Amino acid sequence: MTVAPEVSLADRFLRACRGAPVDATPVWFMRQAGRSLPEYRRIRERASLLEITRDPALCAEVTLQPVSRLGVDAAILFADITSPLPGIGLPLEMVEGVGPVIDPPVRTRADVAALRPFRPEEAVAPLLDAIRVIRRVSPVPLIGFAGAPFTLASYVVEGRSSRDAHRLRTWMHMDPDGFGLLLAHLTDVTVAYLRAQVEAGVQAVQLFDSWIGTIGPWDYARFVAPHMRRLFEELSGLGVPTIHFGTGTAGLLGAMAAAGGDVLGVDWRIGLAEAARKVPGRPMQGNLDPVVLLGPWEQVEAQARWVLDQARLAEVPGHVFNLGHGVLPQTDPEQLRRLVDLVHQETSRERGR
Amino acid sequence: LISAPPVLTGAERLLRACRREPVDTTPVWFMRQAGGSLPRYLALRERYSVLEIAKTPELCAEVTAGAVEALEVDGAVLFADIMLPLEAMGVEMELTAEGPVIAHPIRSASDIPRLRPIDAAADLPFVLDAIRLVRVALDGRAAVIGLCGGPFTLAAYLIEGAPSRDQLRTRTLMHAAPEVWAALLERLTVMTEAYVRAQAEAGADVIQVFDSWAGALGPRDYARFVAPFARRVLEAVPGVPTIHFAASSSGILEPFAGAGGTVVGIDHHQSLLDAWERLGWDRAVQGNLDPAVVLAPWSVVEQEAQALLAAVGGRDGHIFNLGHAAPRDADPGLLRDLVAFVHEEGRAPRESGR
Repeated sequence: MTVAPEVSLADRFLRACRGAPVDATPVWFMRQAGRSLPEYRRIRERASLLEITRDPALCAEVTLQPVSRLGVDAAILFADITSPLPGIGLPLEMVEGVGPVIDPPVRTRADVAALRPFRPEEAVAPLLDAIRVIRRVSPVPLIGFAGAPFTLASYVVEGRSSRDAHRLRTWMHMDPDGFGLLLAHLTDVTVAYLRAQVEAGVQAVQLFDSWIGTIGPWDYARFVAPHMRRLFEELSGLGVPTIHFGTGTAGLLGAMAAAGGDVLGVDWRIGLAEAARKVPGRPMQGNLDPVVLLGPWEQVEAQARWVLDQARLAEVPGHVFNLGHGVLPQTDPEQLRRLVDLVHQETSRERGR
Repeated sequence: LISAPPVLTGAERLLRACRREPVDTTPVWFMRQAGGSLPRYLALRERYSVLEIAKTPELCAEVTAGAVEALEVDGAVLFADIMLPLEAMGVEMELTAEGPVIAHPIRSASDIPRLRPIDAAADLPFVLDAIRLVRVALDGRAAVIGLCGGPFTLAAYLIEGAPSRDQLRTRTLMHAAPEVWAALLERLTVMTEAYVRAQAEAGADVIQVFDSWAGALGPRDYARFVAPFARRVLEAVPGVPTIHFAASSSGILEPFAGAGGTVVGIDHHQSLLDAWERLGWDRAVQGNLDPAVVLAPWSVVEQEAQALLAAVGGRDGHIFNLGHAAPRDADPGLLRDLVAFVHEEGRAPRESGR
């Protein structure tokens, strides 16, 4: 396959996800829509996070803010990992300084049995409408997303964001069958949620397993991988690329990649070259440490070049440049904009050589 | 194939493994083996706090040596928190169930002068006396393992002020205020050099450097911001083998091992053999049974320990351990069985000189 010079911007991200040649390395940032942007903070003065996700026009506006300001190659639907949970009967509140709070949380098998099936058109209709609005106007592909079952389970069981998912991990060991029932249900939720997003128009999906780094490969293989395999099997018929991302996963990458995902999302705690050694031949997304953006531009530049070098060194078949985790709220958007330009310039020049 | 040496003492076994010399069987100990659910420790805890035990040489020695008696391990890791020397530097803290909480975290350059230099003999005599007592009590049955926090982990405790998930504040300070970072690590390194030297002089056979959280960094940042300091700590005790440990170190293994350590401690988030291959076979390694395994039934423990030993294949230079601290609720009887199993399985036939 040769690179057509007229490869459109819209293709760059989706082509890289498939490992196809591109005119320049595509770039987007996890949590690119959010508190780092002044235009987002202005909206938040009059609307809460939940209100934004329940208003299609506002959600579309927020989703597209970083596309115009930063020049990124993809938009990601503005929603929260916990957005589908009210739809299965879990009361959700956003608490300032804490994040999503689920009260009462799921603690017993009886609680699991009481969870409702997920019906997207009832549970998240405004988000699906937002997807349709965004698709009509967005110049770049739209990424849908969902929390992976273990990560969803950590919110559902802990009741809020927790440092080490201790309660969930204890449940996993003490009552593996009950834990399995919970993960099976959350897998069904995630499949239904992502299928509805794809039907509404998203062109790629990312699975966020943000809390998976709290367990080791042995537990992953026994308790989580079977659900992840089923998840990716069910998603494979949807015809859109899947990105499988987690944090703290340097030791889990092989097992995660084996479970599925067209693209492996990598956090900053490992070099892409080493990640590619563990998982050869797979497109990779990542992995600049978000804190680097809080330092001087010279360091951003040096570290970004290093990430690009790692991808080149590893001969990663498709590289989607991203941070290793979400944009920090105190990040100066100007740094992000310069970073997008840098990645594009560096990689288009090198392809011209 | 070199014939197995005659039966060694626990101390000899562990020290020979550090140097990759042939051993009669695989040496084994567990991080956080002293304390946990050992009956003698639980009995002491009814009368004393954790800090009272750590700061009373007789009690500390009893708990430290008691683990060797209860579990038959080859190493006696000192019952001491890595935060103890920070207290000696003037840091006010409270040990909570969640971990240490610092009263006034380090956040700017003006906070650094508050950290005063230590005189180990005067400020931490209980640690050094405990080492002396353990040495006498064990008489070679197990190697005495001294310990300290690694530079990143100590700095992270001081900056975060409380246990944190991904050390975000620490990593932010490192990038946004590199001069503050360097000044802080300089002080911590000078302190740690003195602390481990004093432990070695008191009779520690081995020093383990717990840089437990260093895996929060990527390889480039570890090499730039931490490795130069870690190297000084690891070189502070020439002649005494060092074990350099971090959890979740798979992503930084090369620069981490590059900083030093006679032995590299491998956590359970990676394959021991894969890590060993990356380090080179001329380096001793320690690890790496998943601590969650010791909470499972014995049949599972046996199967997983067997698989790990089979992978190692009797290579010289392996110290059996968990990939991180033993769970506090681990059954001491099961741990003892695991030690016996490792000693039995590790016995024969060993392949040396690879």
